[in-house]
Amino acid sequence: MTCDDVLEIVEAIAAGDVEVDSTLRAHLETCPRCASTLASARRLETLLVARAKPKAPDGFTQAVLARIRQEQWQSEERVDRLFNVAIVIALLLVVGSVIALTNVDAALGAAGTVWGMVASASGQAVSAAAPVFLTYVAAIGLLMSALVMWWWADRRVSL
Amino acid sequence: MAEHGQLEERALIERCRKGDDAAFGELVDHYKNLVYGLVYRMVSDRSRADDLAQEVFLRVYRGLPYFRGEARLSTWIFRIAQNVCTAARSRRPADVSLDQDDEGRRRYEPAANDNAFGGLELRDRLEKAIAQLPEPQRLLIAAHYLEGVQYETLAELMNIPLGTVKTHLYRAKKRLRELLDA
Repeated sequence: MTCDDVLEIVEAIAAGDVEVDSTLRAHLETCPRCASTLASARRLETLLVARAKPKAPDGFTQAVLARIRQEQWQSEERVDRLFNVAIVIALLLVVGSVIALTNVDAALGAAGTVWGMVASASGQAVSAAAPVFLTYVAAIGLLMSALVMWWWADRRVSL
Repeated sequence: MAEHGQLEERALIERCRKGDDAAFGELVDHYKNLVYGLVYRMVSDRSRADDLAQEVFLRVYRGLPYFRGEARLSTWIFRIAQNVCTAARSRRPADVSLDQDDEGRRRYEPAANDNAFGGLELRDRLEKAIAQLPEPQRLLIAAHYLEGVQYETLAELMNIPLGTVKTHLYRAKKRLRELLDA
């Protein structure tokens, strides 16, 4: 056995993964360099084993659960805010639709020349259907808001 | 026995997924010392370790619905802890060595037989030497000497062969010896 052979496995010997057989022992007894390296490796092993093994502090689990609850609360608050915004938009759509229904001419006038061009291009049938169209727009807006809110709620439950 | 453990683990994951806070508490209780110990050894600061270990479990909580069970739960948690530590280290400037000056020269040479300060000084030098290891070796040294983390566990946690774990550990320790003997 040569010094290179011993130095190759010196960490394994120190870790107790390789047993010191008679050949190895014979080499270590006659080679101060390898013996010293092994002693150094063993000292390091002892130091590493003796290194403090930190444990989680008391109340760690409760702190984690509290952070999770806080995060959930913040997330719900964000959903609430978006919900409120969606409600306001839906209300505006409803109010706008009601105004349009009660005063179709004014609504069409407010739509300006674009609406007039569309109306003239599509003829009398479109003009006749215009008030119903506005109702559809309002209904679609409400439906979309409801779908988005349902999606958020479902996402929260699945999380 | 291992199969029984896996069944229990799956049942626990299912309970967590259904929003059972008590189940998640059990999960945290089971892994907290492994995670905290590992994180503490990687950042060497109690309050930071506390915060980062909590961050690990927050990520676990958020990720559980997407955990497919291809790896063991412990492996998955270990990888999250590893990612959190790596991210934390990249956000923080490198630690300043207390026994080297600005140009990297030693401020003092300890006496060979300084028994009064030997133990403390050696432990301090060991921590600094570990801090100089490359990240994967640091992680191995941090995890291997935690309670009950054997080579087999490390191989499973890091998803590398047993022989590779040993080789990396031996290399890390050789490097540590060189740093301590320098």
